[in-house]
Amino acid sequence: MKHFFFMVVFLMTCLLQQAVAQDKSVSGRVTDGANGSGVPGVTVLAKGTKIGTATNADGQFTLSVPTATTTLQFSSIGYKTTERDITSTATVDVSLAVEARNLDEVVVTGLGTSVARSNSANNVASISAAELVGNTRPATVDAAMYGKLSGAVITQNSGAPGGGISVQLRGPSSISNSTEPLYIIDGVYANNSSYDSGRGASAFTAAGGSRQDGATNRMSDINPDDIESIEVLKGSSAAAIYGTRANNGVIIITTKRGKTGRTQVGFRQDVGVTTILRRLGQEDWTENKIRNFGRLRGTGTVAGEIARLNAAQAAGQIYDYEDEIFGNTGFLSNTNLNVSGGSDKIRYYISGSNADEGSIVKNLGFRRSSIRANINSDISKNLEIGTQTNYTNASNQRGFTNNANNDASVSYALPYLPSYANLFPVNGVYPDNEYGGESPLAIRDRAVNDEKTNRFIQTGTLNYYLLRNDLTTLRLNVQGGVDYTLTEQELYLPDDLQSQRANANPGASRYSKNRQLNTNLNTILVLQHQLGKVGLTSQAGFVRLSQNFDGSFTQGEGLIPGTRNPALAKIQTLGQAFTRVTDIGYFVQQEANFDDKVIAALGVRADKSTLNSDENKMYYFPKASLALNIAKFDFWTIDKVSQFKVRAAYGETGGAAGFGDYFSRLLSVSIDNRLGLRNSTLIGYDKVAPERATELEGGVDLGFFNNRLTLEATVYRKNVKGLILTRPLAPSTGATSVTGFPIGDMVNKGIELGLAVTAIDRPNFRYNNRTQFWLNRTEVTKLDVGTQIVGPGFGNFFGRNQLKLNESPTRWFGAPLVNGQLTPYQESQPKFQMTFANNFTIMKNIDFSFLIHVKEGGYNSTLTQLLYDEGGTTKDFSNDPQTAPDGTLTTLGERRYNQETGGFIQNASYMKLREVSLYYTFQKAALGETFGRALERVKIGVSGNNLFLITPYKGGYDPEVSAFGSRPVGGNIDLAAFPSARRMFFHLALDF
Amino acid sequence: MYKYLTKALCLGGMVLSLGSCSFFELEDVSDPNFPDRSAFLANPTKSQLDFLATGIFSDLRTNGSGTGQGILLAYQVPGVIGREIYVLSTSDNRYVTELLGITPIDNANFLSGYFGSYSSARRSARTLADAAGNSPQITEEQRNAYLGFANTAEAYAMLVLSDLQYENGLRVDVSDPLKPGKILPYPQVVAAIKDKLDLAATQFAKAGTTLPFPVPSGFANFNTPATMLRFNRALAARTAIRTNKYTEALAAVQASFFSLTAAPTAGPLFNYGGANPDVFNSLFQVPNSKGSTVVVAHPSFVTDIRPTDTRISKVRKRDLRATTGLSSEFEPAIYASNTAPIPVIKNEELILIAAEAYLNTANKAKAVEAINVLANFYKVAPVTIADSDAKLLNEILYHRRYSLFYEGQRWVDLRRLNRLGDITPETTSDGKKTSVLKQLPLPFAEVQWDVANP
Repeated sequence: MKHFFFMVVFLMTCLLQQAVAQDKSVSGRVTDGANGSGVPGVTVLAKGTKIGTATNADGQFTLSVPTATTTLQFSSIGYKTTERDITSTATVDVSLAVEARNLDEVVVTGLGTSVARSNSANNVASISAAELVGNTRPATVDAAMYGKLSGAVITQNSGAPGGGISVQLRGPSSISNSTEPLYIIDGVYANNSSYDSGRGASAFTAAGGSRQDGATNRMSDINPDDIESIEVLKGSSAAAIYGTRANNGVIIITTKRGKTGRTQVGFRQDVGVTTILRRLGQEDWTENKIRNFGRLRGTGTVAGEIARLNAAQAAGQIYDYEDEIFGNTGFLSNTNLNVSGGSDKIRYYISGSNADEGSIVKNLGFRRSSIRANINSDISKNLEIGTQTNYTNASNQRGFTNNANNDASVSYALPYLPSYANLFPVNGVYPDNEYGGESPLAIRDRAVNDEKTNRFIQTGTLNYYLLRNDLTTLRLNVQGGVDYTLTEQELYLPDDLQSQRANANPGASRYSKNRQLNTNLNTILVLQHQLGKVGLTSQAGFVRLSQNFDGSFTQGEGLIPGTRNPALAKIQTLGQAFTRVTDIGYFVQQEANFDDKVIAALGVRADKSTLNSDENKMYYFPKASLALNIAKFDFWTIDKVSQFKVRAAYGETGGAAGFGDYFSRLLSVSIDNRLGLRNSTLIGYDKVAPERATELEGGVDLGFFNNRLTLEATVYRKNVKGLILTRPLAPSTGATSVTGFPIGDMVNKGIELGLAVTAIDRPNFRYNNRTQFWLNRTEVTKLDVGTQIVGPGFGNFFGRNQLKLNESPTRWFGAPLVNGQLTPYQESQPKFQMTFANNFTIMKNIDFSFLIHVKEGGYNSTLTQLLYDEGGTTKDFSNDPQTAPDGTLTTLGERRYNQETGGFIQNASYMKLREVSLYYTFQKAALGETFGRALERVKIGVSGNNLFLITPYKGGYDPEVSAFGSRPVGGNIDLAAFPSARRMFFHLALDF
Repeated sequence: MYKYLTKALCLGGMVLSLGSCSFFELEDVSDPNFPDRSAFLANPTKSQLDFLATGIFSDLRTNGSGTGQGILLAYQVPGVIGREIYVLSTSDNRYVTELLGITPIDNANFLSGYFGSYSSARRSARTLADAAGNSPQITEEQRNAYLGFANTAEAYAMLVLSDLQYENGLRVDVSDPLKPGKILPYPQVVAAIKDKLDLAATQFAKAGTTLPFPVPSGFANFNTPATMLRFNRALAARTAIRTNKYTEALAAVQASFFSLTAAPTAGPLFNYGGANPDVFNSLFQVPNSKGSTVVVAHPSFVTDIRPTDTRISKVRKRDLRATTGLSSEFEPAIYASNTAPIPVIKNEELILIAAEAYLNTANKAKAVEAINVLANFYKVAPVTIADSDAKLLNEILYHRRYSLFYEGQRWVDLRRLNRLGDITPETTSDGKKTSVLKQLPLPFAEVQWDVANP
């Protein structure tokens, strides 16, 4: 390896060159070709250099360029890139033509290189700042990606405040490990963990070890307003250069940078409300219903319950508890202030934001405050350094929902609560709920499940041009950073709660600290050389990254009344877990571009990791790609077809094993204060190696009428080999599984289609539509171990996923067992998904847009409806009464309570109106003398997020749900999930 | 030019300094969280063996974290099926619907949790046996003591498993988890348990006069090889009556701590210290609990008990508990607190095994004597030699039901004597007809292993 660096030094000393610069000033205004209004944020670049600026809110710019500069380039997402000759002028006014799909934006091809979209061999999805948060205000970055990313299955795990969202690209690429893509923010391997607060511990909800309330994932710490663009490398063929951690795809987030020019100040305030998206409703009780209902709780007798019903009716005390608990209107506020600008030597972007969100449940909410400073500086003509600093303070109050084996969950207790019960506090004392183990009102008002995070992300970049002339550049790019997260959680259930009084030591609190430090350093040498019509880009480099996790908690049971300190509790429990991982990777890549007609790339990444049994063994991940721009060849004469590209790409990536997969352990126990060791049911596999995905992607991109209509069609086949899972053993051996075992292969096949059209483009009316369609199918193609149940679940009776040869791992199976085999049911992955994004610009100043998201197919295993049927409170419980031959009367709800497995596997198709917005923009001229002096632009608007839901799903509040959080299989389970909310906003944006 | 050269050299130097070996070489990671199992198997010290022995004492209780609260299910499941208790849960109706035979038991749900727990305890015991067998650092007497204890412990766990699995059988040879033996039928399982206990007995006989490992307070009276052997024989007696082998049972009882004069409740105990890493008595329940999962006494406990029987104190009145179409006004009151010990096997069980064995080996007088020890103690009418054999057996079963209440025995007793019909299946108030299960199903993973490895 050292030879490599000697070579660097050698090259640097030999090839350094220097040019003398003399500047001239150019200014002008960039306008929209259709309506003539100024276009803000257009990148203006002296062609062939990095010297540039951006237009202000009115489209104006001024730029100082070397006298030798002949051409200025104007580019902005949504417009066709345009060039202007400036040899003989100092003023340039440009009007940009609209493009439905920007083919000139650049997409990443290597760790240090990028290529124009029109030359890309992969279907790389990009989301611009405007698409991300330009219309409405989802709370988190991942929520903002909904419906904007073909090939992705994005699922909100629950409606609890603060997110909890899973993103899966091109189907599951793993069974046991995370399905989350790798997030890279400004070059740093970002932490997207979600940390367990311990709410499932027996002291709290006794729901078991698996997290069952869809905890917040840490992407929620990132302020979406700071993001310039998101690029998504969906499959292995695009992500191969990221190697061993890229099996689930890579999401590359670039934050905003300052641009040379006048200082720009932007202020944005959004205020809104959030309310429950869909109510299930509850059926009331009658004397007759009580008589026929066999599972009475409370007094447990017909006479007793009828007496209570009559008393409640007489007193007018019939309550709508769903409304009481989930009927709150939460207040939403989002404030954002940013300042950006720069001189020719230094550029900055500084922002501060505060998001404060209420919830549909009283007392719950989410808050995030963040500050960011991105500074780039040209130390010399050939040396640029940058630093990006982000501090976030985020917190949420999630409350208690989802599964609870002691009913300490508002959504679990609700279905059993008859409307004639009175649980309202009297003089601050909450009556016991005799219809369950806990009062949901007491949990709502008195239980604490809070999380707060302090996070610091610091990245630095260095670009050094060792050589730069007309034909050749040699650049050293060093990028590194740290991502430090400290997430602290507090759980508290007071000692006098009903569910706590059932414990020998009532009152429980738990304080968890999850500390994670990710660091990484990438060093890349990029050589670009023009050889006649062929452009060559070579790169080589290395990456080293480390992840250190330290999680601990102190838990107290048997609390002093009113005191939360676990140190004073009767029983004190400590927990501590460490994870330490280091990866090292090397890569080389060669790209060649023949006159934008033929573009080819070849590369390989080599990785080693302490997650593998042999930590210094290298694993190699090759890639190759080819794109042909047929319409650019001379023989192409069809003018109407402006682009015709065929492309193919192949690549391999890895999926890392879990930490500790090769350890065989003993567990500690104690008796009589004497420490002992006992068996662990897990056996470590001694040859743990990464999973390997090999993907072949092919596609055709077409552009018509100057790219006013574009069509992108992609097919892929991603084969995951050596899937890491636990190899199941016969439990009678005392060992249930071998961890980190390669159990077989799986294939994902899919189609992604994108159609973008500027349907109408008139001065006073413009209409853009972008339609995306995608589907994915998964199948286990090789299985070296027996059929096994995978993923979490509540037993075969309600549906489980299993790993079975020639079957989809996400398909539901369940009771009854036929010849030892589970009965197959439907698939949990959608048949297909579609989105329709529509943007209208009317009279230059009015922007109207809406985004519809359709998910067709995909079944959930749901127990939520069962809870209501068991409690006799389902809205339709008494419908369709039937008398059996033996005279017993059954109702719809009662029959459903006794249904077989098939009834719990329910169609979770939906259509959601994800986003709708209406904005009016006042340009400087329209603002008049007073405001116009200070303001460049004022934008006001209203928007909605998840306004409508249309679904056949009756199993729960929202078909989009995952009781067990983000996981490759077993994700689509619904058990008393937190209901989803709709959000409505008023927006005000001022540009100074 | 010179300026750039300097800069370039500085930069190159910086990058190079990173190129040292530690930067590009990865070091072996050892487990930062748990002890390494292999370190305890290769040449273990006596201290390491003692850690494993202590671990087994703890594991026999099988309610450590992550063991699926094994003892809870191992006592509740036979308790519900044997109609000693109900588990009435507002958050999980399967304690009723599946255990009372309304719907088939799902072999993949939590009700099979005991299986992994007791199988894990078996492997804890085998780990000690393997480690002690290898260690050159202990004497032969010490080795025999470790092995005797390990084999007795594994036999105990196998007995619990076979009580629940019954005619499904059990894997006996599981020494290599990657190549386990086949599931053996029930009679062979019971024979294997007997062999293991007998082997342990011969090992204790060669173990000298002191045990090399510390013994917890619950086993204070069983802290030498000779007294530990008596516990071993008590388990052998329990094993023998599983297949109604009365001669064998009698021999084992007589070599155990059986005594007609000692307290009926005498015997080894699972003792509990409390919080992590020790555990609680998970069978304890707060009086009159209003929680979501509540164990109540089966109503027949109170209706069937004889008026003067002092064992009525094993239950207490509570507020009516009604869920899932069942209800009760009584709850078990066996344990005073969540650190109260749970008996492993009691003298009164041995007395009743002896009585049953005497009765079936034509020694009626001795049987009557044994029964009346308990009749007198618990203030119920004594039996006489004039009573019929059938009546005496019923009397033994009555005493077993009340002396061993909620200890997982009634269901097993009725089953081995072919009298499950003594239980009348109830109908719930929402119209569901129950039945009496004979055994729990083999867990799903256990079935799948054999499918995948025919």
